[in-house]
Amino acid sequence: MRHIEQSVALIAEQIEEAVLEMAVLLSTASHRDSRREQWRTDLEHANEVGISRVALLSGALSTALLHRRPTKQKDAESPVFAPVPNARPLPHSLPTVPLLILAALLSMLSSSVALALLGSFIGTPARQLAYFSILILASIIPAALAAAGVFLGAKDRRVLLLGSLTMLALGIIWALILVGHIRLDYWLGAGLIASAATLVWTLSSGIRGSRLTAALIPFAIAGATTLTMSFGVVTGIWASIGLPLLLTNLLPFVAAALTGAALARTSTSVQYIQPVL
Amino acid sequence: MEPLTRITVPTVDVLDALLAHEGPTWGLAVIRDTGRLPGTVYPLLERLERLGWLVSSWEQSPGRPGPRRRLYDFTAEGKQASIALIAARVQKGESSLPLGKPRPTSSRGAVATS
Repeated sequence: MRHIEQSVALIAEQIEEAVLEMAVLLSTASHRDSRREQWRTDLEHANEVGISRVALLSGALSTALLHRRPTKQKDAESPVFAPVPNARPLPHSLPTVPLLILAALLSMLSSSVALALLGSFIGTPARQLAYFSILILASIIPAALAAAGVFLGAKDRRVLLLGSLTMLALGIIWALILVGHIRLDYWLGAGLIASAATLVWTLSSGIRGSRLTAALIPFAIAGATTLTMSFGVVTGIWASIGLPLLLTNLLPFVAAALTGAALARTSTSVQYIQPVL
Repeated sequence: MEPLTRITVPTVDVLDALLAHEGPTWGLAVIRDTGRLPGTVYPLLERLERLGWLVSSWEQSPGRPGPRRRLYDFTAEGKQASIALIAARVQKGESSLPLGKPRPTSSRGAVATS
């Protein structure tokens, strides 16, 4: 029994550590050093001070997500204090928004892999659960991650909220397309959803004018891919050079991510798109 | 120091909790004393610091291993403005804390500076 308790405590500790790291990662780069150390100390002493550890972690997460303005780092001049620049260094520093988008693509890729393995579950009760999980991985989770990216990137609260909600709605529409409730060819649907997501991203980022037409690129990629795949010979060539179908399915979404990143780089509002870089 | 454009009850509570301490105060102690959620207090402390009402620093305690505590203290202007603000709010009865009541500052002071 004692061994089980220790294991549970260890798992809980690791989960807390993971949540804390996520909160730090979601913070802007300028905040990460101080927030990591501050939150870790507070978590260590939460029990003795009588404050819920869950409340601390949720507070850290909400602070990371909603409060991203840089802090003026002016330290007290008292000799008893160490200056902020002496904060213990970060073990790493990663850009949040690109990571979210990468995670969204990986989620879609894992759904494709799982779908390929779904045959193993045929005739078992687990099939329904597996199918549902694949659907979530292919649509809702990527949409939620992209929505978080919009939420972190935009400047105006109303814009970011609208952009995030629209991104989530696109995820739901994509799920309905995948299950067949909305009858659309896969490539047509993928192209439309990827282009719409790119448009939401660029609009939320404050990009206007002719550059918005770049949102059509994922749709064009989807069209080109389906045309190319309709020629069996070409498909064979693709297969021979090691481009598996699993990756091909993601092309419109990869195109959307790359288009969004390229537009962000060339935008004057770039600081709002990738605030942690 | 920049003025506060939005003074909420939690803001007043945080200022009041900081005023109750003499000297730098640990952020976690402010959370405990105000009874507010960490998700409310952490951003408030950062905002007050950004506006020049507070300064923060790392606790110096070479004997204690592990991460350091983040301590908050008023700037000279911030303290004056906070006292004035709290006084005005006490008159209006807008703070949710029992303003003016003594708090266990001695123990917190020890925590903050140990």
